[in-house]
Amino acid sequence: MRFNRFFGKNLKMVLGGGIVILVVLTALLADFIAPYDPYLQDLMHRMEPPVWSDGGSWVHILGTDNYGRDMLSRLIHGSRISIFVGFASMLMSCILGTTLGMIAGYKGKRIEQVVMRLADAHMAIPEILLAVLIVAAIGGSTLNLILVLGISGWMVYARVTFGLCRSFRERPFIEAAVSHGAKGGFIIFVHILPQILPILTVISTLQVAQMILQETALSFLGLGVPAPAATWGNMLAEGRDRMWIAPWIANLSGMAIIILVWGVNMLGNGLREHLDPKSKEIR
Amino acid sequence: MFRFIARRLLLMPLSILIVMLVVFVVLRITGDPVEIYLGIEGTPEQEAVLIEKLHLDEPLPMQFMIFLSDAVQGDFGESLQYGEPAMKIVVSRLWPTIQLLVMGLSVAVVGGVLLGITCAVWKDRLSDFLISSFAIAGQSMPSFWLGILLIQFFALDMKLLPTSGIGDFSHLILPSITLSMFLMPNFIMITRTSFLEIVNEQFVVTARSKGVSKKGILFIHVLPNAINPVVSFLGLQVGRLFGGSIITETIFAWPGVGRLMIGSIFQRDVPIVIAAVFIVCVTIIVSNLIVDIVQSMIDPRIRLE
Repeated sequence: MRFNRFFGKNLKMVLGGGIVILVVLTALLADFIAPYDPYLQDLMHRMEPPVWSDGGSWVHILGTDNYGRDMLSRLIHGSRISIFVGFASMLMSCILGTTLGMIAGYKGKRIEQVVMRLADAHMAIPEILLAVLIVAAIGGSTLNLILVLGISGWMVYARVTFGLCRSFRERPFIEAAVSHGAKGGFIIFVHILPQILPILTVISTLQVAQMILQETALSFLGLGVPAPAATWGNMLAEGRDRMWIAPWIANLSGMAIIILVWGVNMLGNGLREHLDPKSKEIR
Repeated sequence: MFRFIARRLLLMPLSILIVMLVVFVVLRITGDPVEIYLGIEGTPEQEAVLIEKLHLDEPLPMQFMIFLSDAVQGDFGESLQYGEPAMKIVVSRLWPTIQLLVMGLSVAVVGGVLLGITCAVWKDRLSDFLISSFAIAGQSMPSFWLGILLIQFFALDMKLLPTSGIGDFSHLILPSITLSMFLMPNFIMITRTSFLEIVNEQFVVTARSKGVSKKGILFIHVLPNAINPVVSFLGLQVGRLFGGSIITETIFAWPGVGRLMIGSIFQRDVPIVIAAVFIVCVTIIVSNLIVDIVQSMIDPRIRLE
């Protein structure tokens, strides 16, 4: 049986997009959907298991955590920060990397040397290490997290746009624009940017997934958004310490992360096949 | 080829310099070493000794220059936590990390390439669908959660493997699986894509029409040509592998460089962090260079320059 034919051609895009839209809607409507206040502590009902395991009840469908906070409400509210951090940091590194990459690719010479050597240096240090270093220095907050993740991801864009931009520079339509007296900035943003937009869309989508995972990794190392905040990464990290008595805390937040990131990845892969069926894997 | 290698080797110190500068500045400007190492009980004499030792009375650029000139001579300073030369401590933690990286990478490459080939050979069949889904799920999974699940299942429920720490070979199994999952999904997808591309090439059609057996086509004609993207990806991902080992070492209490580094960052132990970052940086750059050279050997069409 041919599975792809069975499910239709844009299965990935539909499935991934569907999940992403669903999670985004949940995040937007969190105040209306969540049954409880995600920060309301109820120490009499600590670590109650979810409804399907022994001792669970319908009062807290997904159980409660170490402080008696409702897991379902926390998961629903947690989607906000995960999506916000993922999207905002992607946007930041995309703008940063694309701008630098395009300027370096178009202008060449000294700017190219500076930008690409910086990218080389940055490639020589593991992303997570740099993020840990900066967060340990400036402290954890949502804004700092976005800043750090945004900075740590710019090289991908810079390298891709640099290569494309350099190849475009020789093409007739750019030469025509130059001979009409167009300025560098105009050419870059009006003539070149639209050409690389499809590839940027794909990289960006896939990077949102990476950013969400990075956020959870930083939370795991104790460098995420500070403690009371309900983020999936924090919940997972908190759940780790109680893995043996209350495994659902970690497992449910892990599931939430997997579902969202899987959706985003599917959407990205689907977009790639849709926009450029012959393109290679984007690394 | 020689010029290419020479150029890369010349640029290497530049990259390392930039990275070390960033690390040094970030660590120095965010915490006063005097306060961190002496606490509130430090006497003025101790303070003076420390300031003298770390040249803290000099301006920051000067401090960096002094640090650098020591580092060039192999002296990265004394660790302020352990009171021993920083490089010595980092080197002593190197072996466990190497073990972990080599095992993790082998699992990732062997598993990834084999599964990727399986996908490509039976394209659009059930096995392709399952393995591809596994790959995408693996990419979507927070790897430390995987590590926790592995500990829970194999160490606590089945009692087959130790939960953490270092010891005989059985201690290495769960950490390497966890680490390998940072890269294996990507290896699967890249192998699959590159195989499918090569399979449609003219020379494969020719081989098939000559009556070469399926195995012969696969291993003699397709594999050597399809392996190149995997190698180049490998080079790009050494950094990611180190990042993964930081997290893996933290989960499994593995006494390697990654955990040392994280701990030292929290303690603002500048000499150790810089010594460790230096080693990691050199490793990443050198392995990138090796990958480039290996690639040009596998595929002579790639000319270095």
